[in-house]
Amino acid sequence: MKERKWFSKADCLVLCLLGLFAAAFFLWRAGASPGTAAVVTVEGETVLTVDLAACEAQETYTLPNGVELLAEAHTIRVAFSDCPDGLCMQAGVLSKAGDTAVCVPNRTVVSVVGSDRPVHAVTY
Amino acid sequence: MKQNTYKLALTGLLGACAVALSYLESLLPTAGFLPPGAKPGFSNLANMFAAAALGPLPAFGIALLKAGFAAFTRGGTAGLMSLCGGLLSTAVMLLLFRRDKKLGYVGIGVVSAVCHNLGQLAVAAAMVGSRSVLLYLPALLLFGAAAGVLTGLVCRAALPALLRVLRRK
Repeated sequence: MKERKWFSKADCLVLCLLGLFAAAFFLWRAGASPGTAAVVTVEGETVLTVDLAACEAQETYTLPNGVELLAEAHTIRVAFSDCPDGLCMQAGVLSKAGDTAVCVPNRTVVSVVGSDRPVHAVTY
Repeated sequence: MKQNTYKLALTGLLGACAVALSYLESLLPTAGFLPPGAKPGFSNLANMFAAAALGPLPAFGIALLKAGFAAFTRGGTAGLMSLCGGLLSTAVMLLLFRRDKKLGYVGIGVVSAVCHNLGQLAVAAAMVGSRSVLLYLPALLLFGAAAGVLTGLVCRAALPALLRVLRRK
């Protein structure tokens, strides 16, 4: 039986395909438009929509599950969550359409939407 | 019979290594340019050894042990994500080691790391009830590929030593 190589041509192909896919994705993300609103869902249900286009001053929102969001100058970020890893806070400031912060332990997703989905009112 | 006992002991040792590596990498600081949640996944080395040299039962056993450790130290969500990622990547590893002739060790490391990420994200998407989790995928794939290259290289480099231990009954 032929011994398996350390690194083969097929490996190179796999790596190139992954690289291409990631490069295409980052190019697409770099061209994203500024977000107009942030949609917050818990277990798939929309619980809060924040109009980012109108938001200038600092504003804090606390969800029923304890996650705290901070909206400021057309951006939003997760300011506090009691989850063990804090990945949602590490996602940082969200500003472009498509930017997303996810807190899996709290089943919460904050995603910024662009001008193609206008928001006419702030609901809470 | 003696061979079986030997295998069991080795599986236990590899499992302990996997848990120790998981703990050690949790001490590493997270760099700002990395996607949130990205980990080098050193403990997949133990899975890869087991898949390459010991067979399905030890490999899945180690995946289960790792998931249990994650659940115990980082909560049920982390445990479930580790379980699905670990089982998927171990299954793919076993399949590739048995059936595939073209990929090298690096390729198997990369493909299984990517499968680990896919399994975890699938669980995350199901739990939060939103597909937007998948936006993390490209960054995780890129990082996972790099981690997979390392895992594959280290596995290949250390495999002869492990096989020597296995043959010395």
